[in-house]
Amino acid sequence: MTEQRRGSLYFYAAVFFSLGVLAYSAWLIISSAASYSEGQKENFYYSLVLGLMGVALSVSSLTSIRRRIQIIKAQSIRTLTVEFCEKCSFKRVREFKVGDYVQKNVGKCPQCVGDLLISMIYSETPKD
Amino acid sequence: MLGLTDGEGGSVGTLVSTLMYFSFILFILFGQKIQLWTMIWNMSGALKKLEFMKNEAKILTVKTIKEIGKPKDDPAPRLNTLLEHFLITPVDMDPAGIVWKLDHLMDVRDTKFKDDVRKLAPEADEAQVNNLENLVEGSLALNTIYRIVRHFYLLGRKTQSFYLILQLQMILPLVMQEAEALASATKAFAQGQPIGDGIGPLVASKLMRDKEKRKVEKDIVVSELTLDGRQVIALKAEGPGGNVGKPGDAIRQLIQEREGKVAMVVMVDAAVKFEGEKTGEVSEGTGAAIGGVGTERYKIEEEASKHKIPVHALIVKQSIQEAIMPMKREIAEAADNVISKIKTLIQERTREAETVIVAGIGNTIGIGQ
Ligand SMILES: [Zn+2]
Repeated sequence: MTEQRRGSLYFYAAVFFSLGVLAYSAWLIISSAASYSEGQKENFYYSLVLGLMGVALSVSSLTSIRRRIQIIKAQSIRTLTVEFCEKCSFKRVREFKVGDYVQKNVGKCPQCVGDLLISMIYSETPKD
Repeated sequence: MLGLTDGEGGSVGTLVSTLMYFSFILFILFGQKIQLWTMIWNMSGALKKLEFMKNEAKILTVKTIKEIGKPKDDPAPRLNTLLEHFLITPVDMDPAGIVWKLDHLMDVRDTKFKDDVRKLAPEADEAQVNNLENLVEGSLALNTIYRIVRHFYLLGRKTQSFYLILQLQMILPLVMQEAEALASATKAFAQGQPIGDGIGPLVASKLMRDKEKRKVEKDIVVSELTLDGRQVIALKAEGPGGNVGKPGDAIRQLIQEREGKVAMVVMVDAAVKFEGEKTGEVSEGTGAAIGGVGTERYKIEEEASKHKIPVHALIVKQSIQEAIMPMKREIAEAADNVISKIKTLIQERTREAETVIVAGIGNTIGIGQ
């Protein structure tokens, strides 16, 4: 849990930093236009090149963060266990527990006297 | 207009254009070298990821062994030996009889692995030993991938050979996909969750429910039932521990018990889909649907052709990754579809009172009977 929190803290810091760089670069480009109209050629080139580089770097870092989020999302799969009663078609879905297996008898059906068996165990990726 | 040549801006303009020319020449002369460096750099990233996955799998294996098996001493040294285990395949210059040699070799390997795992985890029951064995196999596969990739990476860096690196670079995405699937497979094995490959046993277990079961060679359970007036013999590997058993031996034994009087063999298995195809789709085919090194398929083909028994295959499509990852919903829900296809097949291709063998092929982890 603490590791997860540290991970998300790092993630927010990275996003915040990239956005900061992006904002600063945008400001540099705008100010370069101002220095061009004022005739300060050296300032113009300097801010323009730096601004463009900053935009490129921050955009690439943001896209790579986005890709990493997608990978993490794909990895966080949830496994579910389906309990089913043959007699009255009672069905219950719950989180998978270690020791579960398909065809395992998990006791009596809460609706009738039939046996409750695990009919399926499957994994699902959370939808967004 | 921009005034590149006058005043202060002029020197910057000259500098920029000189740099442009310089980098242009640099790329012409050393383009391949630069490409090589970037490839090596990419690869070292991939290698680090592989190393991480391999270590994670090993940590998980040790943790699970300690939890379930409660060994008296540290399992790590013995596990390390097991993770470097290799198999020397028989000589194929004179291929006659190679199947039985390979079969024997696989038996020896299997026994050795199970015995070692049992020693590593003395308190584990039979199903848990099987799960742990699968887990060790997964770790071993990741370890092997890591060692091979590292070998070519280091060799490429040492020789600075563009083509050596290029070869690795070309297959790297596929290798990484395989490794990621293995990494998630080890998690399923550690917890005893069904994997995509378990669709065959899942179908068989649905047929076998409430029926009397008996064990046949090797690690296979068999049940007899009637379906539309036909006598159906369903078989699968014994669960819920991770196991594939030897369905070839079992099918041979069943056919021999009935002196060849079997009308049809239906095999249900997971099969690799092409990119773009839907996971969980069911296809029909002819022939023995079973993977592995080929020894089991050989036995089934041999026995079936001896008695002229038709062998039909029903496959559930999934990617190589999905086959070893925790079973997806689409795959689990395909089981009923497979059973209805089995029924149609039986109705159309056999007469009443005839015997049909239905074999659920695959790893039965997390699936009982
Ligand atoms: Zn009920």
